[in-house]
Amino acid sequence: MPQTLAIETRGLSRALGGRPVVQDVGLAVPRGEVFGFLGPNGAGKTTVMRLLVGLLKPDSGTIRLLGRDLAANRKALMGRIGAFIETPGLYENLSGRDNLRLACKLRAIDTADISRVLDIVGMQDAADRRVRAYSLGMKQRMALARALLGKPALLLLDEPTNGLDPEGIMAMRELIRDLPQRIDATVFLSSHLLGEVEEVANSIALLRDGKLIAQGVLSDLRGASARLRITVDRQQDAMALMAGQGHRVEPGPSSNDLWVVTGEQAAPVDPAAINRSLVDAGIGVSALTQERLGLEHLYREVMGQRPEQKREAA
Amino acid sequence: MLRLVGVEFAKLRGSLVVLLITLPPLLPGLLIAIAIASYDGPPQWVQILDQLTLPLWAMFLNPTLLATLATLMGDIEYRNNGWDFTLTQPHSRWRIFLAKLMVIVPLHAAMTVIAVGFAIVIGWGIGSITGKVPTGDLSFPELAMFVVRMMAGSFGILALQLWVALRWRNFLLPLSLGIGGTLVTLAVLMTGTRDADWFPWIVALRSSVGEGDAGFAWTGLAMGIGFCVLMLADLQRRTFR
Repeated sequence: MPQTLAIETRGLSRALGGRPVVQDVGLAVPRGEVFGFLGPNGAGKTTVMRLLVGLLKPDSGTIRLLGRDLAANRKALMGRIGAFIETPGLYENLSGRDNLRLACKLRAIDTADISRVLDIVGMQDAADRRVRAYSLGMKQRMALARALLGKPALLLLDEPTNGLDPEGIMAMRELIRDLPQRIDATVFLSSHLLGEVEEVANSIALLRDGKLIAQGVLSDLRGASARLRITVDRQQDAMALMAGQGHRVEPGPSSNDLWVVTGEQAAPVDPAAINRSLVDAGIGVSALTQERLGLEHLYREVMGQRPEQKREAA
Repeated sequence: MLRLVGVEFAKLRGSLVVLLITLPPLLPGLLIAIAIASYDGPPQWVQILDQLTLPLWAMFLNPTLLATLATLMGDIEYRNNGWDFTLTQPHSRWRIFLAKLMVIVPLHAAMTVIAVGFAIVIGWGIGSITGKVPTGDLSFPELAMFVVRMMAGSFGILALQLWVALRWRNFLLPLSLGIGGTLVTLAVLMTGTRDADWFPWIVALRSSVGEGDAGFAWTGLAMGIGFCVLMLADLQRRTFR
């Protein structure tokens, strides 16, 4: 029997203040892994997260979590989901432990679980201090502890490293990366930080202007974005020739280099054929190198330049 | 439901709620102490209760403290960005809001009892020290009836205040509503008009002081139930940020 998805949305749309913020989003998040939900600020990630936990109702579309329809099973599903949306949302007049006790009471979880989650986030020593005395990083970790109570099958984390110092970011990353193994859960992690997602996620989805632009296993998506670096004696002529043959061409790092973009986003490339056509045109080729690109390049490729960046460039 | 009420009480720990329900209700008692000290002879209980404590409480302290208490209830969620947590728990939304109402009602009762109780204690205490122990009948059943009518008659403003406090992030709105309602009440009393007997703050006042009309208590209770239904229907659909 095929395993159901942890999150499955179809045609998910939502407008806020008359402006479409999420448009026709179809997510398919596999179980048991960290799934990165990537997009620039204002892309609609938090709105999607709020839709996924029922804080907002979709204008259209369906949401299935852990194989069940959210609209029909919200209460039951919320008992199996841990969420941390935008801010830690802890009661600052209470201690960290009291915050966890509240959550236990609300979710009918044995308070013995508090010690387990405090160990996971490394907050045992600070648990009895009032939250208002915590640093932002401690609040983030305590909020994560609260989300981990009751061993949820699905964890929704919205920008959990926001406002953390570099050390805190690294600690949080390690924590998130290990969660699927430690608690047997699916982690849906939203972030605008490429490096963060690249470090911890197995699969990703890219959101821009409320629309899902790409989705898939990270290694496949990386493979889909590669380039051929060619070192020639006449760069301008070589670029014109390649462009004439329908290739996506970019100038390389030096005046003798050019890049031919390969993969899903561009026409198929045969390095041998390219070499042959350059030589036939009388252009000297001294090197041909395949380069695999990181998520950052993929991100830029898929996202394109944003309007303000274009204005700045102009 | 009891679990939710327990959680709502627990959220108030470490907030100013204990100070709020214990200190301001002491004010009538302090005024009584000053009054007894300034009398030539022992006053009557009817003077210090029916003419000082109860009107002061019903007219001014009750509505303003209810406004403050409701504001605190709403602010606990908004200040801590707690709605996202509270509303993603495996409970129906209406139960969560109803639990908040079920917390504020006993707190209101506690404030009223403290105000009346402290007035009596201070009356005895200061009276004993100064040799001017108030005289006349001290009817505890009547005082209990005052508390009951006060609670019922104030249920309209309690529900309305809580609705406004939970609905809007800005805490000035419920505070302004409470202060505005109290000032209108004072204006109505100064003019002596009966045209405003439908006004929730007037209903609360007339339910327990002066003639203490039981009809006003029932009206206040009915208003409160009506506002509760509207509040639950409205908040059920609302997006909280």
